[in-house]
Amino acid sequence: MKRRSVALGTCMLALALAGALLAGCSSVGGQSYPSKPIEFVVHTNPGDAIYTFADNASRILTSKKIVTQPMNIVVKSGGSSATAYSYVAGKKVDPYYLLSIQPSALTTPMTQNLEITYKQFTPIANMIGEENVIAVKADSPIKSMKDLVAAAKKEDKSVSMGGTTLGAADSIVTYMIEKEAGVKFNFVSFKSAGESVVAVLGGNVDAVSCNPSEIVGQMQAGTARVLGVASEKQSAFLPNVPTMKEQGLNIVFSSFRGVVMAGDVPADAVKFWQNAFAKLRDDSEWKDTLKTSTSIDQYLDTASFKPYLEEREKFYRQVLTDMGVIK
Amino acid sequence: MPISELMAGFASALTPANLLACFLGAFLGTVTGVLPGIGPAAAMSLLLPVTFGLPPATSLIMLAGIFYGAMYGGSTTSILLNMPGETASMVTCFDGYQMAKKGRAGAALAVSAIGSWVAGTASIVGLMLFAPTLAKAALVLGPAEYFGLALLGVLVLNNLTGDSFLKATAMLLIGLMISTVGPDIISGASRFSFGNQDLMDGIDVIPVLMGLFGLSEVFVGIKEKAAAAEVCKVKFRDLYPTRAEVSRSIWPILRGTAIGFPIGLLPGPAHILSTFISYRIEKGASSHPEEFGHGAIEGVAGPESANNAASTGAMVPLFALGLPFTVQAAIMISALRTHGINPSPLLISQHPEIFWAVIASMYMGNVMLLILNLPLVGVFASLIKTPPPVLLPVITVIMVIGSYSLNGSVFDVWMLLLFGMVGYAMKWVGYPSVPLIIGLVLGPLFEESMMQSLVLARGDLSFFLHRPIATGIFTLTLLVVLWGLVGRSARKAVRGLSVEDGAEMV
Amino acid sequence: MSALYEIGVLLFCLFYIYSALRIPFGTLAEPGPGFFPLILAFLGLAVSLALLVSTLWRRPRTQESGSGEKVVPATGFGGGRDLIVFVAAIVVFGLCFETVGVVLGLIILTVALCRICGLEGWRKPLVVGVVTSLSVYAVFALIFKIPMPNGPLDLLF
Repeated sequence: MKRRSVALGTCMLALALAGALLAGCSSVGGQSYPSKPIEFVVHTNPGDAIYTFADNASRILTSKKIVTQPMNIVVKSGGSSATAYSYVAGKKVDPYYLLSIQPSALTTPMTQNLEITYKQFTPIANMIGEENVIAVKADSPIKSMKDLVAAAKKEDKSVSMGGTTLGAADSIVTYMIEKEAGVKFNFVSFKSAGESVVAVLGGNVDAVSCNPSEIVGQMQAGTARVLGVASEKQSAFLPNVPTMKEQGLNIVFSSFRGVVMAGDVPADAVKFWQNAFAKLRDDSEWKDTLKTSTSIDQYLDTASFKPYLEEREKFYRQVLTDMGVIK
Repeated sequence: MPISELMAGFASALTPANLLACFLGAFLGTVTGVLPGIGPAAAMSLLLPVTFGLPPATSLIMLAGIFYGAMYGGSTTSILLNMPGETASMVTCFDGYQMAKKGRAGAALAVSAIGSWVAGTASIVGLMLFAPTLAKAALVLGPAEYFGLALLGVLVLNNLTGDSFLKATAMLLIGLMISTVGPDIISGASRFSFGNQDLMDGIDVIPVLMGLFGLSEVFVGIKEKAAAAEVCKVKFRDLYPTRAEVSRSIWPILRGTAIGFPIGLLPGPAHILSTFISYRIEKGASSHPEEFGHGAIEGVAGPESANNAASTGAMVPLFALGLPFTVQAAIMISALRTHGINPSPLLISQHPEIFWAVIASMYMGNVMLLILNLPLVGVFASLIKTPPPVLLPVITVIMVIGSYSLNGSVFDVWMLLLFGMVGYAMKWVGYPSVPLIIGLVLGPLFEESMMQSLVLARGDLSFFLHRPIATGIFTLTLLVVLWGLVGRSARKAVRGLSVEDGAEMV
Repeated sequence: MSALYEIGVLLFCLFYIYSALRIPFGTLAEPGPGFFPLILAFLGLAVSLALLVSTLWRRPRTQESGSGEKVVPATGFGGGRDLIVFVAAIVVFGLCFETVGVVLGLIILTVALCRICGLEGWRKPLVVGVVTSLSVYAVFALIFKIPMPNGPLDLLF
């Protein structure tokens, strides 16, 4: 019995060693990249915009054969996206991991005092952006951004604004309006954008700051009025809604959504994904997904993405400090 | 009564593709309900990619099937093993498991399936007829009202098992304290994390629930070897409810449906609340309340109906307003979006074919589930005949993996173990574990609505008085508490006992 | 006995208060992250003190009459040792299974637990272990695609 188990053990050891050698070989570029399935890491669950973004991208990339290996979405929720970031950052040279990146990648390390920062990643490309709007109930006396500002000017915090956590896009846009117009809103935090929209529809808050996707359905049904959109030109999804600029408030803001990889991946992998996402951007099916996800094309290739991230990091740090979210 | 639309809905629901989708969803939903750690949301996410290639109505039919299917499955392990597969099935453990111990497992399972069917079907009628009106009414409820409801819930529900008031309150507070671990809703600052990444997101209910109920029961089984040696013999006659049991279940089922449906309309832990409230009401309405906790069939019939009605009620805001109040509804909305349909209040009028097809399929799904579950009652009931030395390890293993699968983290396994030990200790000293769970489950709603109300009030507490519904709820809470205290003092005087002995509150 | 538990609860509340005090409390109009926790903490402290006092005060007079859920330890400490080993087995599993892989880990765990619960021999526990492990893996990892650590099996694929 003992001899058999020793023999068994030695066989297993040999197998394991052989397997390790094989695994080691394939990732050093012996075969063409990519040669095994790719993990696309996100930090939110299905149903959320970021998951949908990664899902759409993977689906189209593989179905159009831009990428010939399967791409799997892996959810690493937790730690307000910190788990996803540390997971991929830890992969260092492994080129089989993609990570979806958005403003929380910049803000979470600041608010949670994490050691991981965006600098530990290799930017690949930015694909889309999500805009922000301010909306009210349809029968609200507030009918434009001017009315909103006028109402808010009457008394500090007399107008309540619904949104999510302090530091999220909706709170930042609110803050930008406060600074630009010299008013102070009473910002009420809800657990999700959906809940904040419910609150404004029921008259429990006076206005709401959110993404177009959360409110477009209500607007079409006539239950909500969108006062303004914080962008350069009017949104294709919200016809006839003036921009804030047009109403005298110079506020332009959007949340980027892009892709990065771990810090020290080989250059040929970076080039591969650069090309892949450039092709994705021009794909017609991808353009359709922009419509269904109410996002705008904000493509930035690898060379432009890095400085963009640096600029955004400075911006967020400034705003969050002003808001008192970080010291 | 929109008969022609309903008929059209049935016509499209009865196509082979939609029938298959309905069955698949319902079946998968039942499986996820039985398994701890996997909820309907996991199954729905799994099927989401499949829905890309399917027409929108078929996608929704399948996803909806998972949703209400899970409510059927959750009661199985609660009754047989005192291990709730879903948080909503927790209440079924109280009496369901006791019934199983007495050899009445089959009856409990059968009544639970029938109650679920009645509730599901009846609430679909509600959905069909009243969706838009109800949805608009629900919008009026704001943070102040939710705070009132949470307060009412916490004060009224924490003593379901009739233990000493002080002990129950202590456990409730502990549950509330545990619920505060994690991010604060306003600043997102994480609390009580002590630098641990797992604690940063808070402590999940499921491992705590499984530990307090399931694992502690396993521990008891190991320790009390002598007692665990008895094996219940399940005779065929025992597999189905007696006439008396059925007639006792009728009113609880109807009441459960009536309670569950409106609660499902509300965001937050709707399913769980509906079961607690139903249990409370059944206990109060029963002519023999002392049976509750020891195998009263009303305690199974009511809550099981309530949670099915609530899951259907949760569809009301989805269809009538296009707003997701639960994670499962959010997944259904994203399925709609990928088909280019923007969920909004116009959904029903713009896409009646989808709405009515889903409604019709829900009727059929409930029937399918009844047919699936009833005959299986015998199979399930005989599962508990497995000898403990095999059953206990298998249950433990399932709970361990179920906990791990929540977040892919061993941390949840540690929580399971920790609360298994805590639950065991609590059993030893006679402390109730239900209030702890209530605290943990209601804590987030309580804290969030309180914070939101305070922010809206801007420091001026008369804010609450300006809101009639909220004031009404607070008054109701006050009355209930007073009645409870008065009732207890009266009984105290009558029996001459001291406060700490198991006198019931209300 | 109850007193021990209540002391535990009290200690928990004290620890909680200590941690909660370090979180910003905010004001009534602008409640901070520590607002709710601190209120809970003080309530908890009050109740747990009340409980402890009432238990200690009544101990000489009456036996704790408890309530429905109490379990009276019957057979001395017989099963107690098994319980400790049971818990230890789960702890070991939790620590190792990410390296060993879920299938292998579950087999070992189930076998260990069966033996602890009194199943005789090695064949029966092994059968139970393999069947349980494979079915759990099939359902959770294959059907529901929940990522599970595969351990050494990763090298084979």
